[in-house]
Amino acid sequence: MTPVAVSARRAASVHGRIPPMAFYAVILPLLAIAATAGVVIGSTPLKWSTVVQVLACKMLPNGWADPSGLTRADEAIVWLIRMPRVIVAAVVGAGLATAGVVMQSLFRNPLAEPGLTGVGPGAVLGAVVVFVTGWSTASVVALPLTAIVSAFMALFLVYGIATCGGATPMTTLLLTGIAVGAFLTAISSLLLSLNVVAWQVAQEIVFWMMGGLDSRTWAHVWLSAPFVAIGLVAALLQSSKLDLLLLGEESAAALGVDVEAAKRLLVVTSALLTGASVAVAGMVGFVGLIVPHAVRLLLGPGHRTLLPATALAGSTFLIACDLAARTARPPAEIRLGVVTALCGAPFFLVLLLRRFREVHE
Amino acid sequence: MSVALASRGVSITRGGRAILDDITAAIPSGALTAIVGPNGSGKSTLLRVLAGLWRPSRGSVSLEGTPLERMARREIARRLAFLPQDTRCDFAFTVAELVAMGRHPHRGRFESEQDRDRRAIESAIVVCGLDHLRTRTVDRLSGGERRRVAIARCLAAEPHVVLLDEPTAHLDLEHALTVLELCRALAESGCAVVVATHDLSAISRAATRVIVLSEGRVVANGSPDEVLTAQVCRDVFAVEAEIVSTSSGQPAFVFTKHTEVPRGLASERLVP
Repeated sequence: MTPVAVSARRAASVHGRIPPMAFYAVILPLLAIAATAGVVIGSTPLKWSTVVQVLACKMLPNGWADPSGLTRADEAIVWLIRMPRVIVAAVVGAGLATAGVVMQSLFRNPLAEPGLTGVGPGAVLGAVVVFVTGWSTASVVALPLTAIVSAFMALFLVYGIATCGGATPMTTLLLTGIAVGAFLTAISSLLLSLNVVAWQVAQEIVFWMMGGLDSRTWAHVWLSAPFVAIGLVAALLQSSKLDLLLLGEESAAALGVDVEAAKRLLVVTSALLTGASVAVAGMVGFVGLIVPHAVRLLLGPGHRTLLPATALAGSTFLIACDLAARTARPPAEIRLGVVTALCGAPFFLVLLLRRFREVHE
Repeated sequence: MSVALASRGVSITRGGRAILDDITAAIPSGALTAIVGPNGSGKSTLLRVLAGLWRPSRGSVSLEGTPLERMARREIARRLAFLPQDTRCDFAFTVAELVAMGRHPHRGRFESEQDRDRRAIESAIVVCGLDHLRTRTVDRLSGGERRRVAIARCLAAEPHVVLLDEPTAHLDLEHALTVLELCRALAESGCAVVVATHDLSAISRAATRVIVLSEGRVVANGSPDEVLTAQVCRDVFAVEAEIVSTSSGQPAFVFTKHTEVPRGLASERLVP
């Protein structure tokens, strides 16, 4: 047997990991089930056949599907309310989970999360300003657009402060991100406290900070999906560099990576994914922390496999969490950020303890 | 022997302090060059400058005749491998995956692993004695095993020049000797190998040339017999050394403490 054949045979099984194909064989049906359930299940009961009929009428060329028997209400519920909501959940889940992978690799820390570079607090401040000034009532896109712009302004501020002589040490970037993030959060809190008397505004701000996908439209889909798609492709194109950065900046540079250029591109990629996600869903915590970690435990840390798998798992997780948020206590909705934390934290602990025991037993 | 790597008048200043001062050295192909010196003498800094990771404040470094500043990072990595002191990785890559990363400079962004890559990876794994560990994840390896994986990663690149910063740190006696023998074999195969180390006895037997650094300057440069003397040990390392000959005729160093207070230790700390 040649060395290459021996190598391939021996590389087949790694303790604790599952083959990528087995992962996809589970996650793709789960994603399909979650998405279908997200459209079918809701406060107004709908038949599966009605949902399929509406989707066929909307997505297939004119005349291919029979619209008879459908009411305007059916069409509105399926096409204008539930479909965009499910798609936004999928986009945001993929975006936050992928941003989490990128940040954890950049900081070489599995506990890093997407908002570490000030992007999250920046988006929050932008949103709070929109609520306080009343711009949110002027246009449905005012809030997400302002949130994205302010997220990037926060990132550039953090990166500018942390960069000295063309180099950006990751520790300095992390600490600057925490400091600027705390400052921006303080301004958001100040604006919130000054506007508590305007109860409606304060409630909107608090709800947005807790994350949620209620009243999301196709405009939100078009506002977030292109940015997240660009971010996903950019991250995938950098997958081998992300692998090398996990070895440390010096080792990565010695293996031919232009480390500073790679860091700039990856930080912008992460900000694009996080900013676009936070802009349409508010602050949804834990997705960017637990999903990458869970998938990494199952598939290993190699980014070529990890990135697409994490995006799919993030989508599935957030669609399921959103479904739980709006069906657990109808007609009221639990905020999405609350559900992700309630589901995610125990799951994260179980995975972490399993790994810890495997290593130390 | 042709010169693979050469520094001319290299100086590095950080925070107003000269870390390297006017270093001129030629690293020949087919030789094992050792850089020795006390802590803080500039060994690791010199290796980083030679690897093109740090740009010198003055002077230049050329790799096979081409100045490093005219070469792309990836082009340097195809010809020169560098093993830093810190090779910690907290993410559970397998040994085979880590060694395969050494092929990164040779592969295009969308290029999959070719037969040549697999052969280089396989060879590096076998040479470094990691065959039985290839599917083990790095979090289940000992410190010495991790060091050997990092060395194998350097070898997988099939470089012309290999710079190793304390490659025998964390290794037991057997593996330390194996690594030095490996360095020597690499040099004999035509590679220019540079090792920064504190192990004078081992290096006096394995190295072809020795560069001694002290406070950022080259204070001696030549064959181990010429350079590693009791006088150099006294002046540079502040220790008395007796160089004895083993039964096989190889030199071994026996160190005793210098009579004067070692540099860096305040005299009042020594007073009870």
